[in-house]
Amino acid sequence: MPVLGVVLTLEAGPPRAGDLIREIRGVALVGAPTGARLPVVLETWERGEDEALFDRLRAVAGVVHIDLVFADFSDLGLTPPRSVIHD
Amino acid sequence: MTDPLLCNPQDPSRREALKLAALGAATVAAAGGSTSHAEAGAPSNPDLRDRMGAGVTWDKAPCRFCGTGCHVQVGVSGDRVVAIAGDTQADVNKGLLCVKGYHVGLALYGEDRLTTPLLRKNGVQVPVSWEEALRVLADRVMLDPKGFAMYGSGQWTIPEGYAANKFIKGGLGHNHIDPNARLCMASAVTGFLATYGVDEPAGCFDDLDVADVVILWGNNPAEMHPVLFSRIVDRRARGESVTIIDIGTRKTRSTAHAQHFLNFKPNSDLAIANGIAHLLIRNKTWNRDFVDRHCAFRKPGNDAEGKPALNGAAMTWDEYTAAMAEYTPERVEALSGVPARDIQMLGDLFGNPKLRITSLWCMGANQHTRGTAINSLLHGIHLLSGHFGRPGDAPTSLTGQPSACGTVREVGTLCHALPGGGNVTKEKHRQLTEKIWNLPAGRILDKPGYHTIELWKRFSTPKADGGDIHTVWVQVTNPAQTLPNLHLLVDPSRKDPEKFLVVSDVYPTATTRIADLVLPSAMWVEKNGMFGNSERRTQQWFKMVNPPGQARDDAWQIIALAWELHRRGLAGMKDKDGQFLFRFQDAAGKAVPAWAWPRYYSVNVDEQLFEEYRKFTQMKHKNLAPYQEYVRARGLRWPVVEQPDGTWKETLWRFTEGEDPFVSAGKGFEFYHSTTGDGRAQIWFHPQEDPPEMPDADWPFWLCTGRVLEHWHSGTITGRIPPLRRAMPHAYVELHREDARRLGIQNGERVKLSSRRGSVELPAWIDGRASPPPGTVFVPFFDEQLPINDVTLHDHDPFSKQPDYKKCAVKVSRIGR
Repeated sequence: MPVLGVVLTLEAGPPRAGDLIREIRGVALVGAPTGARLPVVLETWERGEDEALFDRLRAVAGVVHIDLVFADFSDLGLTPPRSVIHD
Repeated sequence: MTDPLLCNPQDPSRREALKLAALGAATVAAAGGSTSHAEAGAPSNPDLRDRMGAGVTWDKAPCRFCGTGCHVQVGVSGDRVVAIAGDTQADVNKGLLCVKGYHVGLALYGEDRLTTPLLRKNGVQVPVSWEEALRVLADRVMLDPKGFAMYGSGQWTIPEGYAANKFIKGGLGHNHIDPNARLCMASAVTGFLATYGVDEPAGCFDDLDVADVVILWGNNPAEMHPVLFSRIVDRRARGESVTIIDIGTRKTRSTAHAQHFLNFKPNSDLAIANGIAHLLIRNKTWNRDFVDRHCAFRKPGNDAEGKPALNGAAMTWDEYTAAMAEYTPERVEALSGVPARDIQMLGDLFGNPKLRITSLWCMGANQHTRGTAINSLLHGIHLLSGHFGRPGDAPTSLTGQPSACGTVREVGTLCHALPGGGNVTKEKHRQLTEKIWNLPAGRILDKPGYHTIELWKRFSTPKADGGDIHTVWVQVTNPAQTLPNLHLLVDPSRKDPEKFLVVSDVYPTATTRIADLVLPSAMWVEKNGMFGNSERRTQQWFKMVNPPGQARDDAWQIIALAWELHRRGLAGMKDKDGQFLFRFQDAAGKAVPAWAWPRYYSVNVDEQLFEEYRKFTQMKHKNLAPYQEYVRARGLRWPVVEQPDGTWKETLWRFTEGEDPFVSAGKGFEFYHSTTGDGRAQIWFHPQEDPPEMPDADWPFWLCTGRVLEHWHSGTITGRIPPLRRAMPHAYVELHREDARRLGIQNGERVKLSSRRGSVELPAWIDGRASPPPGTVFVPFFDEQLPINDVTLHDHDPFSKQPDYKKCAVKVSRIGR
């Protein structure tokens, strides 16, 4: 399942949100913040897990916004296109 | 050396490499991107190159979804897109992407891509060869070229739209071509034309980085232009102060970030804009110097035939102030429901010359039976107050599609338009077009073609009753889901054997399902392309992977049909020297038969079409640079003008001295396409008036329709991206809690939504993502299974011909679980 790179925008102030984020399951890496922007890597293994993970991140006090900046999906089971005939 | 990306997906070392690549991308983006890496096409973040291995090649492309125009880095391995990263070199997004953008690579890989032409025979669509498909298409043209229309979109690339425009207007000699952008931003066009005499915004996205106040007029950029919105809210995280005022008919995700939410009654936005003008006059805080030097006043008026004229009639300052006199804060409160104190707050903000104010609007102002009027009024309050032309001071309309500006407004794929801002009714513009296309004089018809609503109405009307459009060729859009009042505009044509519907698309849609001929298309990085975003930025990308099966470029389809018609001797396919309209040549000057698919990529067809198109762009000072400049850049904002040293310079703020190269020295500001010919912009008065349909005892609710974050338009593409489909699997109706309680509706229960035109059954969502006020419901239009456009109204603005999807009267009744 996808490995995602995201940037969290945090409220100005004590970096408490960063500490909370590290404890969330699915947060694989947390980088060094630049100002209020925190680079984070997410790793999920089950379909649908990424949405729940995003919800948990949004729910963390101090998280203002989440931007996605990287997605790898090379391991998704892609099947060849098949022709479609209507009716 | 083994490439970590191409190993077993479960391999821990590969996962670690990917995670490090993801962290590198996020770190660079968090730092605000890098502009030090000048090599075009290369990954702007060296980590991507290093971590993901030599088996992955990277190139730049704009995202194919909204009008923001974010650039992505596309990772390709084995003729397949395998990774997407935000492009940190891109000014627009500085490495950031939204949920749709980062899934854009998966858009190519839905399981049911259309891969072969399909022709309806005995009621069933069966596979046919491209040769047969083109023969059938040519037969339909030969039946009567003037009854053969095209319907395209703001997702056409610039060269595709240009080819379609030339084929219809230069080849078939009529103007029955229109895009779905008619449904989303035509009122913005008429608003710009009525105000400045020329289309498209004066400002740019840089305004959002410095504005003190951002006003959202019926606009929800948190969902519709999320990366752009993050440019605003990120400033707060950096400790900057920016006030967001949301003037809307329902609370949205954007409201959550706003300091002020001004909830107005649907259709009363004109009263609010007039209320601001009233206060600027009453408080004597209008910018006298700016207005005296650069503006004139305008009111509605008729042309010589007694029809309402886009340019209206001149009015004096005294007439203008008298017209605005009734829009006191108290009167505006009565009309709009917005408290008088909030109207006064807006008046005070606009009256403060020290502030920088940017207004943003999109569908809320455009999909409006008074769309031209509200667009003009929004420009007017910025002009009257002087909040114009300085960084951060801008009236800015946003577009919903990636090339609504580039392909529709600049290339001129609207039924009245010609490339470069030309108009078919103007002799000089027709003559220029005939010169560049080398056509005999008179080939370009001087009468506009049918606009979208009229075109589909004619297609759905029997020939004997005036339905003179016998065939419509649709490319890159899904009108059987997105047109309003489908029962009127689409359904009748499917019961008329004389009507023939052709659709080029990448996936099955509501429109392909009812089509007589379906043509499989290449999409996004399966072909070369160029887009033009909402801030006048022209962008370019190269083909990176092959399309599946027999799917082929839309531009090739047009050129191949033109060649088939040329072969049959249709006069319109020749220029005045007897040469084929679409000629291409290699570097040695030798003709290349690009109409033959195996030879299509022997030359860069996009580059040759673009270089021809570029000749039009000086007419309205929308100058574009040579194609190769766009290969090197992450887009350039027009006008782009060559400098003495041979470099090409873009323009951030139009009409402003020192920024816009066409403003005369010493003028300060100059509106050089002024409708009054004196360099002045027009400040309009338009009265508040009731809409054509309002709630009453039988139809007691307002219905507003629109989009959601996860889905692109009709959901054709995003519905096939599993994470997006899971996140928002179906449409719904948003209801206010009190309305739901009164009607006995529980969350998730099915309700029937009916209008005078049709009905649809939907699950109720109470206190969901957004919250409408009592008496209003909202339904998104992405869901083919729950077609809300069976319900919507096809009444439209008299000038832009854009229908109003935001306001009609409905009733709601409970069905139950």
